[in-house]
Amino acid sequence: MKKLLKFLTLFVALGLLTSCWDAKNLEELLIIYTVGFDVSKEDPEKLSITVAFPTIIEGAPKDKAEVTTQSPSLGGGEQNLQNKVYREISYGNTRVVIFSEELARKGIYHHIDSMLREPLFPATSRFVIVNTRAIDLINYDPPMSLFVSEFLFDAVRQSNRYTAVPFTTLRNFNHQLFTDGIEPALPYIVYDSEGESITINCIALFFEDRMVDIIRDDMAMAFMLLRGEVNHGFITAPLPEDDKHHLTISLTGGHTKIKTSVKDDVLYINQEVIINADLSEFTRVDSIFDAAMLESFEKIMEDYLDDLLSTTIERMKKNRCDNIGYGLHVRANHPDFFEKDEWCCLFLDAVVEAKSDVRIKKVGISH
Amino acid sequence: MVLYGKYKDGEITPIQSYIILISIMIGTGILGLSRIVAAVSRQDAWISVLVNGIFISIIMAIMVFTISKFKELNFLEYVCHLLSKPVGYTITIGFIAYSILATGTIIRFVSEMIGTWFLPITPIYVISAITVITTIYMTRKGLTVLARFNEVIAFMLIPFALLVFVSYTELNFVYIKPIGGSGIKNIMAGVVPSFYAFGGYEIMMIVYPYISNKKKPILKYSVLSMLLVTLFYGGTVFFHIALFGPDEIQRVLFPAINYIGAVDFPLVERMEIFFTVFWSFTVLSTVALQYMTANILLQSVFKNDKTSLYAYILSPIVFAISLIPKNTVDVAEMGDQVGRLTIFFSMILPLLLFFTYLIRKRRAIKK
Repeated sequence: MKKLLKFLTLFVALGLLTSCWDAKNLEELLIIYTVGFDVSKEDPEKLSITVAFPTIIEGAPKDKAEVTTQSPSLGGGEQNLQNKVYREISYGNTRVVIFSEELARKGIYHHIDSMLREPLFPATSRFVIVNTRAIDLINYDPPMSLFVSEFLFDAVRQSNRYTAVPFTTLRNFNHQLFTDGIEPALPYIVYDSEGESITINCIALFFEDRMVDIIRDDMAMAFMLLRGEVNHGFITAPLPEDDKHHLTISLTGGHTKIKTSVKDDVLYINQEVIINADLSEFTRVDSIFDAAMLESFEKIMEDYLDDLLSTTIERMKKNRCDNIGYGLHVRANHPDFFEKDEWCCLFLDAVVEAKSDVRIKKVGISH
Repeated sequence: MVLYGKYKDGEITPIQSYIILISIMIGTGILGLSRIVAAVSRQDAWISVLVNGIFISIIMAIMVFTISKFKELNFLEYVCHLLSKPVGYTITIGFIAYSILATGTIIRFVSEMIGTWFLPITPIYVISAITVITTIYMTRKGLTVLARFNEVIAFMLIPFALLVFVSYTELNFVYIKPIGGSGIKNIMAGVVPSFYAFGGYEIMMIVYPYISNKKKPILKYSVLSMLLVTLFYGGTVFFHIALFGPDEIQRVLFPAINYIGAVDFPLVERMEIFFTVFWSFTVLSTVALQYMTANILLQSVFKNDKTSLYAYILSPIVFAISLIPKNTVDVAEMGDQVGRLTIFFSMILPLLLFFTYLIRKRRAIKK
């Protein structure tokens, strides 16, 4: 009797332990790689949500497919999307979430709430903004990758490694959105649908959950330097009084120091951007194997970057949004001065000065 | 059977008792600890946790000092001896009720976490039932076997503790500043919500009589065990605040799990599974030890030879308790209520016993 009881208990327990309620074969799932959000063409109050997924089935006419639906938000759209496909949708492998610029300018938070509540939705999914409709980018066939999601996933990471765009994930965005003293910034993809090419060297600046501005090229890199995300990449500066030649450094790393002070009710923010670099290019024929010359190169580069940093800060001040996160330092160092609701005005009135400190370490193998 | 007689003068070794202390404390409380404490003391949540840890270490010292004066008596006997028989029985029955309630609450926390993150379709009662069955299995052979289980899984705490470093690259220590900025009042107020996470160490009052070699410096090592847990909790909360900041953390249900998923890992898609693997073992030992407390106390009230009878009898009760909350909000509320009860059994009762002992001793000296 005791043995029978044991056996029955074990049998029941085994059934439960296999977690059969939640058991799902991969073949039963529709694994979403990309989610795209556009403003609906039919009803501007609604969203057009597109999901892209690999077809998996052998002999399928295409390796990947897309499904689109109209809904006020992702939460509502999930039901519509599910009704259009033959397998259970799983967001657990979502690599990239694309928002069209048109939608981003209207605000995106209420479309991502559903992602934040879903435990399976990866917190590390990349967020990007595209100049065209998101569906256009989803339909793009990258030359080097089967799926646009994988292509964008890697491309955004690579652009971040080259100090071109921030690395914004679902978690980062949510973090910057709900933290006082910093506003979100997302990679902005320029998609040329006619030329079938994309460029990732622009940054979409947000105020709360609305996109307010785009900064490009050198200014985008300056933004990254101000954020302290000094990774790799190249910076080219013109030589003073010599239009024909130029100087290029290759970044190897760096960091930033932010000091804040309040004097006579005026907020001063002094930032130092330390840039470690190697000399990558000097197009004149002079030998550079000279300490004074290297110092002069550092000075040329610092002057060039200081202008760029200053212009970038002015641009953010114009937008009245602190996407760098100076507010975090002000809040930490002067909690009595920091007003979370007034920070955009305080930032506008603050005296912000950023200086670069370029340190050239190597000069290459020829001089 | 030979093994059960290993400890001639008790059921567990001093080392096992220290491990029991650590195991019972590290459980479900860690999941939301940083959120609930940061809601009160914001960036200084880690200081609140450290203050609580130091405070309860002192309580632990007082507790062990008091009960070490009654080496031959069990909990019921020495409480009756110090506070009279009716009060002793009332407190013991109250302790039994508290342990049953705490066990049911912890089981529900486990089910809620697993149900939310890993088995969303599996009914809560199934997860609860599996946990209850496991708990019966762990406790039915008595304290010695449970202590040995704890000894084995103690090694799991090492990788569990190391997981706090996984998101190190994402941390921003500016969120910790200004240190002490939330004010002493808020820091002290933040101590209260952390009681639930620290709850369980009152088990020392129950297991002390079963420790074999009481000549060992039990007081010293018990306090060290408390400080170890304090350090672990304090460090965890510190890292959580440095990642989420005091604003965002309020919006995260279980920061301990979201923290793990903040960064991408090569090969490992869902890093939080690693957390759960280690956490499941520690939380099972928390459940089992809390359950064992009720069993031992019932055994002393009814003067039985074994606790196994109660391991079976109490199981439907804890199962039913675990099903009381209707939703996640109710579960959190239940945790708060148990946290308040913890204040009596883990703080007021040891102090009451200590002062009664001192008064009785003084009277005896006068006589």
